[in-house]
Amino acid sequence: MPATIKQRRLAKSLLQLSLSDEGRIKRNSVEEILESLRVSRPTGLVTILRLFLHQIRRHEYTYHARVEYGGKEGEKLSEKILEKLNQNSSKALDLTVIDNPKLIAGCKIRLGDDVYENSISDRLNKLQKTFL
Amino acid sequence: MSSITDLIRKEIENLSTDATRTNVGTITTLADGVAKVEGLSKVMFNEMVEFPNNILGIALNLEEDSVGCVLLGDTSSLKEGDEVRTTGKLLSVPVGKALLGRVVDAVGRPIDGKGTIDSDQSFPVERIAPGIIPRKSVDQPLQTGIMAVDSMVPIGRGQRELIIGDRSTGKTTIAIDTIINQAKINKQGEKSGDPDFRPVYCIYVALGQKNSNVARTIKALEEKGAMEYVTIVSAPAADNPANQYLAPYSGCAMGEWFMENGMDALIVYDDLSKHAVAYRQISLILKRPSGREAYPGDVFYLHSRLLERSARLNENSGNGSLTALPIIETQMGDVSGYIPTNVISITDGQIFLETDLFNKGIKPAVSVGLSVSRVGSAAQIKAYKKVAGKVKLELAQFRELAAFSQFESDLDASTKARLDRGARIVEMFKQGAYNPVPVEVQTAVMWGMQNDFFDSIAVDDITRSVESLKEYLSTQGKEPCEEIYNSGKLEESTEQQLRSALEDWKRTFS
Repeated sequence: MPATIKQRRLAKSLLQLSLSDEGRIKRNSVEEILESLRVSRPTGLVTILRLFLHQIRRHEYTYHARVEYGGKEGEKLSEKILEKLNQNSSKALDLTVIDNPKLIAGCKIRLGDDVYENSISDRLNKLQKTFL
Repeated sequence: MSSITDLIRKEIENLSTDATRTNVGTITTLADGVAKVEGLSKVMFNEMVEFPNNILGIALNLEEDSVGCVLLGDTSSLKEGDEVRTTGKLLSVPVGKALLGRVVDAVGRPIDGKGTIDSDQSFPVERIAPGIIPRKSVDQPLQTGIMAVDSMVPIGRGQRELIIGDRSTGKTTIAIDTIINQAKINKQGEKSGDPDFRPVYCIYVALGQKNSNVARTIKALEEKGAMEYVTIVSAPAADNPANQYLAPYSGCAMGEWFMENGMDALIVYDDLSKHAVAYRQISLILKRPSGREAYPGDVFYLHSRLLERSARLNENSGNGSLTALPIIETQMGDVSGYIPTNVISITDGQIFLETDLFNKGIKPAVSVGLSVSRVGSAAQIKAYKKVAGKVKLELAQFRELAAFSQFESDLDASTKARLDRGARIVEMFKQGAYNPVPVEVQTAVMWGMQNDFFDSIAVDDITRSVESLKEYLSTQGKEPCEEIYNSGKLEESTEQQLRSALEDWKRTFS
């Protein structure tokens, strides 16, 4: 059953209620919201919860950067990357660092919907496209 | 071998080593050539997006939580969860003279097996139509080579003239004849070495057609030697709706290049009924609200923004033109349908083809009463205007009288004369497919009709006599036709020449 506009709006409102002043998701607030939903049991509770979860995940991506690196030196760069990202962001960011041998060398950073990439695999892909 | 390595080395050297920033999303649903993508928060409307395996798409629906993208390739390798990237570019197609003689798909990729297209320029598919200031009134003729059209519904360069009619009434034939005639005129003009001669380049957009039909059209154009001035944009029935939706805009971008570079071009959209159907499919899958006949609310804008791009530009803007011949297929002759009325109101006139006339053997089956050209008469050459001025009225009167005369046993002399003249004009206008007639020959034949040269010939023999006269005028009686071609006027001296030529011809005709 597709979600209604009302359910989508409710899920968005619930997300706003779950945020701290710094724009991060507060565990306590989420627990309180879940408790109140359990008690009131609005129509389409499952859909609302699914949408709420989706909103939470998407919001988490906006302050949780995921750094993939290839090569030996990649891990050392994580602190510098976090520092640079924090300089350009209005909120404090988290960082997850993952080794991705497919990149060959270089790194790929994802923050929200934005991807910054400077890796050998990306350059090879670009080169391949020029020959197609 | 060394040249290949040099090429690769050059590509590597030119390759940017900067970090790239892209906006990404993931496919949430995928059906019927349309993908719903979550993310892509910075995507622009109509931006090209890249799916895995180099499949391209266009962002058409920007919603609160998702983006609706139409896909422009084989979607079988895509799946839910795949990453989609923005490209920062609007969909563009190659443009220029390198496309002439080629058959391309909706995004300008060659599909004729003649190798890559050597074009260094590209134009975005969606562009804003020229405004009021750079435009100019239509004042140059675009000869179709079809007597019934050139005399009664003349077309000017920069005009939008709709060809409308039921299935199998000769709509495409009129368009192809026009293209063939442009090629003939172009060759003649280039041969003459006239520095002021302006060739007309043609773009034929085949939309939702059977591949066999497109192949037949290409063959006809090749046989008539017209292909060197033509680009064919093909989005056949088997192509996905997104390509069928895009093809007219791509063809238009190719035509605009000629217009903006001070040249003249003609574009045929064959046909826009199928274009509307393809757009309806996309819109329904994108869950846009549907209106009359399930078409989306912006189906008028779909065609108006396309046809408004055809224009005649003034001298300050390069003096180029883009003439459009959109085709619409009606159901049971109903011109009051949704899409037909939309396109009729957008265009500068229409050539309506009647099934009844076609079945009676009157080809081209142009309906005199329903066909009109709102601006084309301003572009007719003087000589032609002089001889064709009354034809439409005479033919319309004939059709009306013919309907009444069925119930009358006794007809007065003037009615009989009008019926007689009308029947002869109808026969004169009969013309075979892919056989356009030069304007000077048309003028001479019409002059002959106006000056009673055909009155003594039996009605059943008129078509044969007209063919014979055309033959005579292009061989023995060339002089008056050359005079008309060079001056564009019908002086008294030319009329004298014509009279003696036609008298000569009539003596030989049996």
